[in-house]
Amino acid sequence: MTTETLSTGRLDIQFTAEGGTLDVIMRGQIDEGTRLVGLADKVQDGITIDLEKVSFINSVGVREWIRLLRALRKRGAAIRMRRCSEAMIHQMNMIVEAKGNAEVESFFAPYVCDGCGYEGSMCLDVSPNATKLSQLQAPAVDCPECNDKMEFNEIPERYLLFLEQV
Amino acid sequence: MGETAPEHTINTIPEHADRGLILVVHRDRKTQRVVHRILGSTLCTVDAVANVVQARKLLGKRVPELVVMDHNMLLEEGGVAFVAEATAAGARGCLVLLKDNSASELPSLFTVDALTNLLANPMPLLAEELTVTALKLLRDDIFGIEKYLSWGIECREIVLNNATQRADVVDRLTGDVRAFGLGPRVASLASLATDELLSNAVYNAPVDDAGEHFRAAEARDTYRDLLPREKVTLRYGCDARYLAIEVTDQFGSLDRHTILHYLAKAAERGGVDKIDFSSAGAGMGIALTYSCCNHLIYNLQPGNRTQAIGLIDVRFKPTELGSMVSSFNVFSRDPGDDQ
Repeated sequence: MTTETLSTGRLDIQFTAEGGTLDVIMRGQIDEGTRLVGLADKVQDGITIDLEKVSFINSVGVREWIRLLRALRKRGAAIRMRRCSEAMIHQMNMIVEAKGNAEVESFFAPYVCDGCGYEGSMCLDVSPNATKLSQLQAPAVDCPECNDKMEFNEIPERYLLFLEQV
Repeated sequence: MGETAPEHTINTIPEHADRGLILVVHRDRKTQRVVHRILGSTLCTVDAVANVVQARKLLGKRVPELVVMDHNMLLEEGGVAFVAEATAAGARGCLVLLKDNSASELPSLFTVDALTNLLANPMPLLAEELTVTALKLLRDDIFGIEKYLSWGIECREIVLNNATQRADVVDRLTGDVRAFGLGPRVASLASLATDELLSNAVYNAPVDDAGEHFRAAEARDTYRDLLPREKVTLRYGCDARYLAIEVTDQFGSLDRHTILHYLAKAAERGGVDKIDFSSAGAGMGIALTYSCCNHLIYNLQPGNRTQAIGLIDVRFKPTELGSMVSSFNVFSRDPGDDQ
């Protein structure tokens, strides 16, 4: 198992290779300065990408992201995305190919607490919440500040659209 | 590009002045009454009819200053023709009201040439959108975010002097948005909308004498000082109702057809061909900006300036508003007009 890091534009990429799979953590912004396609060359069987810290991705950035997904698909690699940030989900909801045929393990979603007014981005695991999510219902989340029940702070039909994609 | 004209002043209308007619074309009696109540504040006479046939009859007797119309009627037979007739006769604009949950009709709406003002939000946002839209048209006074913010709000103004300054400016805005006390959801939407608006203003707005967009093919990550006319002004502020973002270029090369073409991309989700892989830009800037905002406004003055304004509602939870569709306006001024 080897871990390396590289920077491209305003994005840092940490990748750990184990066997034929690559475990990747991305941190920063995906924009016109980002080059991602070369990452596909390091992948044999599959790749898991942690996207929690991708705070921003613009239209030129999402094009580069799609180029990466296309290159991975061409190699027949299984793609899993983990802890997708709200910025990434916004793009996946706008542009189908930004998710493509990747499997999303977990993602962040906006929640708000009516009790104390706290607003936060909360991580939701897809598998244990599959039934609710398939009905476009957001799972209940406790407020980290007051323990009250938080409310989903988006329109589910709009925010959870990416989960319906093939 | 700061506006010096006083905003938020109350226009005093002389006792016998005729402010003209606003014609509401809508089947629903309750909507007619709500719109009447809102637009009565303009001191115009507000008349309501239930269909396009009645509207045409009325047009033969008196030309309205403004038409407010249900989106279904625009799409029905005779709807577009009526708007064209009203405009040719001297009406200043047509405001189209979109009912809740009519997102599926957006793609067909964006192909309607007569569409210029789409108001999609429910009350109380509708009241604000209708009032400001109507008054901008009636007064022919279109520029500035002040019109959308409460009196006295301070706006930050930043002028871009080089092409790669965009990322730092967006970071600054994101920091300010959090400093306004707004959450990460709004900060994320605001940063994307601002980045895309600035990118369009820096790379797509500049045109030469032949109308060529001479910066459009430029790489987006190359340092370049902006020439005086290429400088772009960003202004933003928040009044706890809206976060308002304004981006102004000095070319005025954007037109309504281009805006509608790209808005249609936002409406038609999916589509592998949404992204442009053959040019420097990805062709998604307007669509992404629209998806981030509750209301997107373009103020156009051909050959002079294009001003884009994005409004993000910060009062209500998206579920409280329940609207899947955002409002948009395109306002135009003659090239030579000063304001």
